[in-house]
Amino acid sequence: MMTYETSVKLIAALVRRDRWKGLALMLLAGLAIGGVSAVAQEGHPLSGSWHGDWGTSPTERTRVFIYMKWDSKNIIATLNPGAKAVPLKIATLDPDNWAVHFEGDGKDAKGAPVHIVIDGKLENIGSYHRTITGTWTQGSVKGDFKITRD
Amino acid sequence: MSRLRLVAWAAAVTAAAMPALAHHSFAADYDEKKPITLRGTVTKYDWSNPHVFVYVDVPEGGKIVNYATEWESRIELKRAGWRADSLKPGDAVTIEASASREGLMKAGGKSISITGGKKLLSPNAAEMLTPHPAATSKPAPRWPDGHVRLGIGPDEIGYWANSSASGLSEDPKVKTNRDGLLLNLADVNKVAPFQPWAKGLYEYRQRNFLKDDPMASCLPPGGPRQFQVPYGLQILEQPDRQRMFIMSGGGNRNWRLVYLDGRPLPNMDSTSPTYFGYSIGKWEGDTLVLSTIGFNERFWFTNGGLPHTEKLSLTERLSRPNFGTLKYEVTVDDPGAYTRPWSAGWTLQWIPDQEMEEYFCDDNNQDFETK
Repeated sequence: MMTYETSVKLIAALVRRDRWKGLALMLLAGLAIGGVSAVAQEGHPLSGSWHGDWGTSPTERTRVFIYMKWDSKNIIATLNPGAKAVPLKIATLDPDNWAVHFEGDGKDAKGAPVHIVIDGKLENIGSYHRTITGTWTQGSVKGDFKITRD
Repeated sequence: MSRLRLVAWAAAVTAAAMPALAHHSFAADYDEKKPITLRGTVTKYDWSNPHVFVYVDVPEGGKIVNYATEWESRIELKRAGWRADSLKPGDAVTIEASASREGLMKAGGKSISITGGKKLLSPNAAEMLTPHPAATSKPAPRWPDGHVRLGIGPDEIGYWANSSASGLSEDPKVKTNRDGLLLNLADVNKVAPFQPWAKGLYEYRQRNFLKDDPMASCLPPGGPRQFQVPYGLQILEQPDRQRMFIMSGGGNRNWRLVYLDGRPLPNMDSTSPTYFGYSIGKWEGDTLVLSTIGFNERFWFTNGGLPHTEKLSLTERLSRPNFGTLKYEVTVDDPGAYTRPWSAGWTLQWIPDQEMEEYFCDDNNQDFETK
């Protein structure tokens, strides 16, 4: 049986081949929607796939997808898995207050390097559809974000 | 945590222990610190799985309010003397219960008195744990090859139930109620060698009275929890096929397969994680040693909400020191959630001359209904 992680790797591989990018995006959407029951889990509260958006106003939003995995010592997090994946090199969770902090280096719309800092709070921990909300800083642009576990 | 808060916690959990015999925590839905008395007329007696409901019309402020009172399963109520015809619509009753935490017109029942009739009680935990001296005085039965028989014998009826511990704790002195709620939340560090996130999640679940328990949605009780559900279990041995089944009486009546043919554990990278994992077993003297890997993360592997990851590996030791006792010991090895392997154990009682009763509860069913 194909695991969720395997599926994400497959999608990333398809995205690398331009001709399959459309299929990859469809699969990605399918995972985001259909993954609801497939990956509901009671283990590390960050493990799994998360989707949502960030932006500077209610109308200026950018869709984001984050895949996280707990490897027993570290949270391995990737923003937007695929051709433009951004490894979040710093990914922490403070169980005293369920605060999360992520940092990574990506590229902006023009292809220029940009540093990304995400600070949020994990909420509704007992729910399959738990959420993280907080601030999202991308270069000099600061906004808010909300992501929900699929 | 202040001493006052600890005392308040202990009081709440201890009080909640009495009616907490169902497959989900009554404390999550009902507040034992808010007792209510309902005097009215029975409108419906729903003698069905997974929980029995008694609906009653109660005059309140010039209106009639219909309350849904929830009770334990038919299995437990029958042990306490209830029957399918114990109540009927039109009976005038007085119900002692715990109020809904959400202020709904429902309540967790503790006792019901029928006017001019008898009083029915919620099952008493102490009574259900009464030992069976006759069963413990007999030696454990054996197969022709000399192995201890862990399951039912020929021309015999019975099953295993009434675990001596309701939670899983490295320190056996740690006390929990029947749902695995700590009587003293300050004992959390004695329960297991948690990683920080796992401790935080366990405490979160405890503080919320286990309201997110997957078993409340009828998901299976994998791992040690299979040996703690209130409806018992049956061990079906098939030595000719070199395997055995551990059949759950509670939850959704699922089963676990254990291979006894000497095969090794598989490479888990090529196997899908499941609720009960992949088990192999071998005899060491009179003890059957089980090794299990391959668990998914969609369930709680113990009462009380101890977290685990897919790296969970269990070594379980089953023995039968006498006819009426099954000894269960488990070593938990999960480097994803705990800092080192740790162990715990308990005993179960043989319930003689009774069949495990039907108790159906399927994935994602809601076990609670009200009107």
